[in-house]
Amino acid sequence: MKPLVAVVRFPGSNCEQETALALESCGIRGRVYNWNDVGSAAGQGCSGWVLPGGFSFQDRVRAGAVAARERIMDIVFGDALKGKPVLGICNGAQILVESGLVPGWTPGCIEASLAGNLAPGRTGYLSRWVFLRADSSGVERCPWLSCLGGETVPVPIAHAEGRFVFRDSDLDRAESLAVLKYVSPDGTPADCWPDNPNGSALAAAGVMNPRGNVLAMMPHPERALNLFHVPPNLPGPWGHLRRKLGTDPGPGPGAAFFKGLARYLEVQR
Amino acid sequence: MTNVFLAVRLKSPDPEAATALCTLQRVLPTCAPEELWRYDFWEFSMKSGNSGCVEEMIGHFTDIVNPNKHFRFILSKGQHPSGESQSLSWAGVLVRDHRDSRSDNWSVVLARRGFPVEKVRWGVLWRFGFAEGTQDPVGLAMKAALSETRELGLLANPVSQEALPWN
Amino acid sequence: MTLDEAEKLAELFNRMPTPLEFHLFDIMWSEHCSYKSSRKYLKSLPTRASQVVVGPGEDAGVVSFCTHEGEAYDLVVAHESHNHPSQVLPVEGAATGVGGIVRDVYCMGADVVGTLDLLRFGDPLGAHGERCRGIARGVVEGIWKYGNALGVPNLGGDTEFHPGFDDNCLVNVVALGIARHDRVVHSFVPKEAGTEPYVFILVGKPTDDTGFGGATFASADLDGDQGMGAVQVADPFLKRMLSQANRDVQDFLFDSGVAFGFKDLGAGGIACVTSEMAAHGNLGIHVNLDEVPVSIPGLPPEVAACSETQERYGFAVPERVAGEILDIYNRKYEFPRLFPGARAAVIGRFTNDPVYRVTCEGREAACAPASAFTEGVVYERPTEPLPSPPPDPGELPCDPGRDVPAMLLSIHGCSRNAVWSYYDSEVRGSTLLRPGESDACVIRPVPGCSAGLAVAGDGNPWYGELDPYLGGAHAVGEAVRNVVSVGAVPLCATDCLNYGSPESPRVMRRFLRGIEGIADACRHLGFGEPGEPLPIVSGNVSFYNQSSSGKSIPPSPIVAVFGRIDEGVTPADMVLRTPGNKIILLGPRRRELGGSLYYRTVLGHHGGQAPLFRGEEEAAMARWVMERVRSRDVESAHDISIGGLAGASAEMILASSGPGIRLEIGVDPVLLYSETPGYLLEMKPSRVASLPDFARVIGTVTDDGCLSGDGWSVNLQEIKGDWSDLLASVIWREEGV
Repeated sequence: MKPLVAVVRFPGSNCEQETALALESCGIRGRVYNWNDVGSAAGQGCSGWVLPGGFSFQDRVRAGAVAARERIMDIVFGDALKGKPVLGICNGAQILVESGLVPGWTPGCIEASLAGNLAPGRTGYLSRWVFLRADSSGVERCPWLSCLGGETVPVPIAHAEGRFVFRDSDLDRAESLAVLKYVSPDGTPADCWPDNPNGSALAAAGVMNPRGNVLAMMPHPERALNLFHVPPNLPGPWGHLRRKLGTDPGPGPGAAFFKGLARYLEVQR
Repeated sequence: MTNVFLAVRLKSPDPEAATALCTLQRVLPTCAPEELWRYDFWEFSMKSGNSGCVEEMIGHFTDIVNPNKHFRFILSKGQHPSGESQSLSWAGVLVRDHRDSRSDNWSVVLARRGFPVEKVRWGVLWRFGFAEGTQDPVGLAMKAALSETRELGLLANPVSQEALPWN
Repeated sequence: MTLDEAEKLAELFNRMPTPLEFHLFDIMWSEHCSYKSSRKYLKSLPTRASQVVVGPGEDAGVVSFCTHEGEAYDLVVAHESHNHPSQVLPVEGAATGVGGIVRDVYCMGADVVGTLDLLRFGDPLGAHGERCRGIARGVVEGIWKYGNALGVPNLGGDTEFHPGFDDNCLVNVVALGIARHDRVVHSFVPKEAGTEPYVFILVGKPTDDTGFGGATFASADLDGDQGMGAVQVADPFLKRMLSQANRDVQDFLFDSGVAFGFKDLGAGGIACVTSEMAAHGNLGIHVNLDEVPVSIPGLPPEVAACSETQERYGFAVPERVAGEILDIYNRKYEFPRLFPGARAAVIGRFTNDPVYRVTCEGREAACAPASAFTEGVVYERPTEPLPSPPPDPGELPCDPGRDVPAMLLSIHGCSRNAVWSYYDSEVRGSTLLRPGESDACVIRPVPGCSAGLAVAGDGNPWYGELDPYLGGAHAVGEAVRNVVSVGAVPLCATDCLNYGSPESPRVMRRFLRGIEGIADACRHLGFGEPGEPLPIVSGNVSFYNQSSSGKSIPPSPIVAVFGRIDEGVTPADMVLRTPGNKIILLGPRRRELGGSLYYRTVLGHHGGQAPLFRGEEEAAMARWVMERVRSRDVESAHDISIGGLAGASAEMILASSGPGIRLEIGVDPVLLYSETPGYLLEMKPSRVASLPDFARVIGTVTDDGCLSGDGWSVNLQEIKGDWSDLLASVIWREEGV
């Protein structure tokens, strides 16, 4: 029986179908649960959770703030503390931060923020492809990153509030949790715009908790699942492959995130 | 330098305020007021002697105030916008990001367009109307604001935002 | 309503109408709803072809799209304008424009898979620049805040700036969806309602007084603060929840084999929807306004019945299933908790007696015979000959090293990337080509099926100004070329006809000529069954786009075309592949530069002969391109329109990183800048066999990132940054204004 991973659909989530599809494509049963279907979600005994992208509660008050206070998050919280893998993508990442699961030095305490993008001369939503790199401790400890290796991975972002913020006194210990970072197309660390698209501290695109089972990432790996997803004008080897092979079937750079989970769950069994 | 404050509110019911109130009623009922109003809040730091031209300046930008959909109030420090019901006890909280692009960009654009502005800072002013006789409305409003944990507060993230009483 | 119309209404009723009846017919007989000035002429548009399932007349058009695993899928498309509200409240106007158009597609039972926006703003650097820039910023904000939240990808569109839109911006929106063929929903009450009790269920936002009279607002001139109360407030969050709940209800009804009708509420609110649903099913209805959920108590009946509160739908279902349907909204999806006052409620009963009755607080507020609803008002407005445009200039000075940068670094020729960067074009995970990568965006809308859907929209106001017939014809032609460039076969089209006042004989003449142009182009550009046209399956007319001083917008027919890329065919994009490849020009250049980017930005000339529409040549070129893409002979492709051959080559280079193009052209303004319709294809030398007579080799791909020819060269890498950033710097950063 394939492992079951729950994808939570809050009012206003909008990436849940393609996220479930991404899980299914890697041999995992990805099932969408409504936020108020707490009974089913709890009862099914899932092996992991994904909070997908979108605009839960229309991002009112602050992105992720209202969803973080829904009852289903009590279950996700409990499972995260038990060590089950939890991934938050974009709005899902905002919900994890507002729930106090990431960075999670003191679970339940709000110790970071995903604040409004800082980009020169620009306010609001930004939609484009970025380049990422996972560091070795992330690859070792975080199931979602375990298939990434050291290569530069292109993935799209689409968000208005994607800037990780930490207290100054926490920057040192945050460094070890900021395991997925924005880089330039050739892999050098991003020190500022445009390689860092939103002014995120530590150039963080994704932050995990100390145990490594929870990852909050702003880019959308489910939108880079197949080769045909890659833009034909993208710099680097993936763009080159896309230009050569066209839209023939084949995995894209985002597949590795879900394969990592599949491999981890396989090992767990 | 003089600071001029502008509060802008929607003429039609504000869905964001409605959602915030519903959420407070559910998770922090003691801090939930009878009425909750939300304003876009602008602080213009004007070069000396130029506080009078804010009115004219904002008339150029419907992004800041669009008279077709907004009420606007020019305020001095601590002053609250008019129109609040006298039968309630009111308390306000001003929530602002430590750093945000709207403030950065408007500071640049207004200066570029030749207005005597040193700096612009944008935020959100929440005004809580508690039932008459409520104890410590100011304290309750601040409690609703600062979300130190998942169970406490709602309106301000303590890591990237500040929440100040505005009464 | 005019005096004559009011008299006609009194005659129909044989008495003075009640306030509710008066408001209802005022709205129904407004230009916006009744098409009274245009209906007679719209009949000349071709709307029939074998692939059409539902033509114009319902909320959206439906055509066959594909079959996958034994299931037939249809494409559902709709196209509308939201011009007047966007001028006054750019954010809300644009947002509710998107909201309204996706509703039209949802209510046919389809999943919405994309939207396009076609925007026309005034001159951002002209006399009213500040206002135009604010409107542009607001419209883009409204579109992203609504569309991104709704989870529907933006699949392109276009943005043009012209002083004629200073007082009247245009916000045209297109929505597209996919529905199972056997689950397409219709909007009239089914015939079963004649034999068993059927009720009308209203779902969504509680009714208030906003938007009251919006249909008449769209049909009036814009003047100062008028129309404030008429603008609606958008809520994509509620819309998304509603579309999920609606889908659940429709699935339940289909699975149970229950016949039903379903419609969204737009202009004229409850009154329009209930009367239309009943009338189209040849039945009557009794609506009880006391049952309508409201957010403001004590609304007068005409307000409750006619207000245009957003995010509301109506179902016509048998009474025996009403309870289950109410539960889905009120309990399963918790609407009352998510939005105060929002819920589903039964508010009407269909009757065999063909009378439209509305009661409020026990009193009758309306009682109209069904025949009144089928009586329309139709006008035949007078027309007048048009003045000739100014002639072409005598000289055509040509210096590509200066001209090409001037064209690319103008507000007209620069990249629109600044606009698209606010839009989510990838939600749903099925986007293959995004705005800027190819002439048409491409998605794979049916999960598991590799058939592609390509969409594009166009409408050149400068051609329209010079020759309204050509404005219409080329709107179709350009949209077809965009879709063909990626290798898609055009299936259908939609249109939105934006003009000034139909009471002006010159405007009316322009309107008629535009329709003739569209009709001729559609007849030539059908690629389905032999002899069949490209069918127009949905559309909209927006009149009265003029200011109170009488200044009309340039004639602006805007057309969207939808095409299918068959399974196994790789769509072509405009990213150049390999130095050494050949560039093929399709479409011999002619001396017809009226309205061209070159005339406008280099010579400052507004006049001349616009490119002619040559239907046979366009059809032949399109067929050849589609064939070449299917055979994998095309490395990259771009159509020729604004900017001519030089502009198109430059855009291919700017879309790529590294390659350039060397043209076999000297300093020749006609060859370089004429906007005669055509294509540029990049092909491997080995694939360039015998070319048809409309095609020839015009250049070679280089590795120098430049656009060059005999005796001239332009280093595009030097201007790429500015070309990419110009729109952001002017509109968003207010630089150089």
